[in-house]
Amino acid sequence: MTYSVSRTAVGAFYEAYARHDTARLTPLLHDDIEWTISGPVEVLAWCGKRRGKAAVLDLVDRLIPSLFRVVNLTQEAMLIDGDRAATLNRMSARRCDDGRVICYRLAHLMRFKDDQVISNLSLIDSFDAVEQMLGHSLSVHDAARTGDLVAV
Amino acid sequence: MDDKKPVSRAVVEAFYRAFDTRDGDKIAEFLHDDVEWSVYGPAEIMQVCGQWRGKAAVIDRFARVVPKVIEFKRLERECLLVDGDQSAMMGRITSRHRGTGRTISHRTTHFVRYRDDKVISFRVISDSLDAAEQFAGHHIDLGEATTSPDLVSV
Repeated sequence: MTYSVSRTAVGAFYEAYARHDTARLTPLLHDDIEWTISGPVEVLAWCGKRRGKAAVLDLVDRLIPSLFRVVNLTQEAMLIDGDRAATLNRMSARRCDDGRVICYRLAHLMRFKDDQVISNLSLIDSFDAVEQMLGHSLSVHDAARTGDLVAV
Repeated sequence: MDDKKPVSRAVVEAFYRAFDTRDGDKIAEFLHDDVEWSVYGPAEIMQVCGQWRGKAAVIDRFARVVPKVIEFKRLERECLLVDGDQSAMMGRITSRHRGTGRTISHRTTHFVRYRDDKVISFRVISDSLDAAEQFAGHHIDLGEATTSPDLVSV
């Protein structure tokens, strides 16, 4: 019989993840989990690929809290189909080092096995997120001066 | 009135077949009059980004705006979820840049909501920095990340 993840299981995962509640999160992660967040690791240190439960817990429990505290995670959409779930979210977070608030959209696509997350791919509006993390606009106008910019 | 009528997978797949044609008239068959079409990203670099409201504006996007910038090649759908009145797609879009002939390829995700089997909301999130660098044809300098006092230390 084909496995389908329940809305309850996805909701439980999301609540634990959003609150960085590792005690509740740990049993919801598969030992062989793959966790990928797109984006430039040199600016957004939480991006990149992680394998295994320990690596994901380290991300949630140590790395992310050292960078920012999530102020609000608004779920704009949540879809569940078979063993997969997709969410569209808007996250607001306060940077630990200067208190500045950053806010950007992110999408999660997760696959579950036995009600545990076995893979996650997150796409974020990384251009927006990088500008907010750096606290200034990226040098788009430099691109315009190079002549390489798309002409329309 | 219940405006959350579920959409069928057959309708969603038919919409994507129309989407793949890039033909505004074919896509229009699946658009609600009040559709909102949002593609997040820096529109000053990627002119395909922005917000379009209403069927006529979305048709114009496909017929006039996008073809000036890119030639669509393919959308490889890695997964397509259908749940209630919504669908979500994760995949990779590949295009040819009109100005330079360069190939542009990046991951993308669509979140779509339907009303009466028509698209009423279409939202796109991509790894927009990666996409912007491919549009610009060069690495976008993040150099201040290594010198700015704003840099997050880990």
